[in-house]
Amino acid sequence: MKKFNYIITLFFIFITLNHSSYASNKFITLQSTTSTRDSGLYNYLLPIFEKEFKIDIRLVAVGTGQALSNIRNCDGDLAITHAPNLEKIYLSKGYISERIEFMYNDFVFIGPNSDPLNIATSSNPDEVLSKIYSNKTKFISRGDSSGTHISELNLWRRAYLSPGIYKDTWYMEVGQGMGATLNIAIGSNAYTYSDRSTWINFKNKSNHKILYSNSELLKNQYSLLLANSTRCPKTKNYLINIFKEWLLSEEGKLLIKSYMVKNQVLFHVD
Amino acid sequence: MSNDTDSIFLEALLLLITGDKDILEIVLLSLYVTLSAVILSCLFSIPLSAILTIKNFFGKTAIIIISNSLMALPPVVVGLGLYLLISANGILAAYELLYTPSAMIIAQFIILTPIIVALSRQNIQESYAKYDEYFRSLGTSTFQKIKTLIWETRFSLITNALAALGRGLSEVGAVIIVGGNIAHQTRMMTTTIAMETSRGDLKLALAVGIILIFISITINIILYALKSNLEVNDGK
Amino acid sequence: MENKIKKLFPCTIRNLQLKFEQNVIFKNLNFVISESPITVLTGNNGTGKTLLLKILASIINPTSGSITFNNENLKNNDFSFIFQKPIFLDRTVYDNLLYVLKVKNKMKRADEVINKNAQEYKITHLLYRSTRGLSGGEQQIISFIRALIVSPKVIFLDEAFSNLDKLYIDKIEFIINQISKNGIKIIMISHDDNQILRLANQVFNIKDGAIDEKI
Repeated sequence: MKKFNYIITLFFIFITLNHSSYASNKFITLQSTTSTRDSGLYNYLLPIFEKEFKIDIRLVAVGTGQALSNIRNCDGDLAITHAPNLEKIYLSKGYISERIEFMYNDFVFIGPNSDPLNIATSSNPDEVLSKIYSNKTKFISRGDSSGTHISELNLWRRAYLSPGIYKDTWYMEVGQGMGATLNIAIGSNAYTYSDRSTWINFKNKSNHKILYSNSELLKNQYSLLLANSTRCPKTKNYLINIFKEWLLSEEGKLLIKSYMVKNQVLFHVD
Repeated sequence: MSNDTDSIFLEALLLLITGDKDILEIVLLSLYVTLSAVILSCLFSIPLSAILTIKNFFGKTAIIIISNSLMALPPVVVGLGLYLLISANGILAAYELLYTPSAMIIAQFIILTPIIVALSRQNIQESYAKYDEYFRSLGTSTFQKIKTLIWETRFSLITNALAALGRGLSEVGAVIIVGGNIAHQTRMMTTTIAMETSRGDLKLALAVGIILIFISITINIILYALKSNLEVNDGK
Repeated sequence: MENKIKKLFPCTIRNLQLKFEQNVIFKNLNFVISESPITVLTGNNGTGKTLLLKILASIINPTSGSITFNNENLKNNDFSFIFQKPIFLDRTVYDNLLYVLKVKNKMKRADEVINKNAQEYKITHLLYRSTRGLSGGEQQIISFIRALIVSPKVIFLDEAFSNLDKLYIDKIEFIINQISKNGIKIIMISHDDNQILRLANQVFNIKDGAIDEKI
């Protein structure tokens, strides 16, 4: 019995020490989206910051909606998302204290190599969507209120089309991240709408490829959001400002510009 | 297409053989979280099961009903509930548990305890039926009864703990909500598989999956050995 | 030494009734257990002898009625109960013996006591064996030793001879005689008329839910 008590006490000490070691490091919680994470940018960028400033960045990658509501709920010090309309609303309502646009890339339409609808020859996004809509061709949507999804919905709206009524026939809303959505699109030989960086990184492309792109009309704007320390007293103001300065500095910009996958720049600055 | 599957499998094995450091970290963290949850749960559940078997007290039925109902709770619901408690707006926000392994331990503790209680009660009840009159003839105290019953039932109880371990290692819903799947901090085997699959990086997902299966098989082998040990000794 | 028994016996049983669901096992038992060393309960199978024994030892509660010991009540530390089929903990013989000493708070020089008894009853070679592998006779002997080492005032025996060879029966009867002479009250169940003749000072026969003293 004595030996047992001894071991159990050691166990409790071990867990307690372990737990306190997580709390003691200097760290910031960064809320971002799965697609941004999947681009690999953070794996490239963050360790450089951590090494230089000795501040840990704990990245929580979830859906856009969750990332935004997390920072609103004070569960994050910073957020990086790409849903400009939502972000602006958040700023106006004081859920975040600052919104800084700092990098961008674009969205693309993905489809099978064979491209039965000839999307590739379209002259604008409206045309792409009309072809899909009138042919009732299978199209996979994120359906999760992410930046990508919101951008997609805007496009349908601008083309005066309502695919929503065709839910569960050819217009499929999967409610998942970009990777899962791409998997489904490829698996069911369908068209879909994705951000370019996730696609470039995606390792299961099979017979699909980028069919239509337009970097102006399909711009994907990323912003850095700072938590509002008046609403969220625990926000690590000092630390997040260090990160903000660094990200927006020449060094930060250079690093973002120089991040390449398969010889392609994924994120543009200015 | 089958060529792809074969090559993914081979690449996965290669990853395992070369001993990828990230994978090791993930496996160790998963073992740490689930083992801790199982140990803590046993410390709580087993004496509780013994007390529930031996004693009648006010609120006993309530505890049993609640415990059995919690068994049917989907782990994601536990995760969500715990998240609401420990997030910055929650009652327990001050403890700063969100996105830590400790939060995952707590989540798994909540999920596994009802299971261990239910299984242990069954085993201890069998033991108690055997020793009840003997205890009465000796006049053993309640505390002594609990100690003796737990020791006498130890093989079955360890079996239950191992079953819970297997269950905890394969859980993904709760730990991703309260843990956040943060690299090098709260990334577990199951969350890695989910994440890498959704990124299309199947070889990494498969590599981790193989380890998980391997651990599962090992647990089951130990379970089987213990069970047959039990059967041999039960034949009086 | 006999003072030990005088404090507890004679024991008067009044209006004892035992019912299980709708079955009445005893209707209305009234009898007195004397101070004499050995009292035997006998009767055909299924008449409830074991149940009566367990009631006397307060292992089971009767439906109604009273059991009044002489000067003081029967406490757990006063008696040992030997079950028909011995119940052991899943450990060595030594640890089983140690266990009862611990429970009854009689740990003083426990190791000495256990070894002395093991020598006396010649089972030293079994001490460190697991109770799982013991033969029926060995189990019974160890049951006895377990009952004795806690220095009880009363020993209840529930058909302790059903599975044994004559060799063991003789041995145990010898022990019973000895210890009853040392002032320990024996209340036992037996089917063997010859045995009853050999051992009993007082005999009760149970039949049809009623009890009957044989002179």
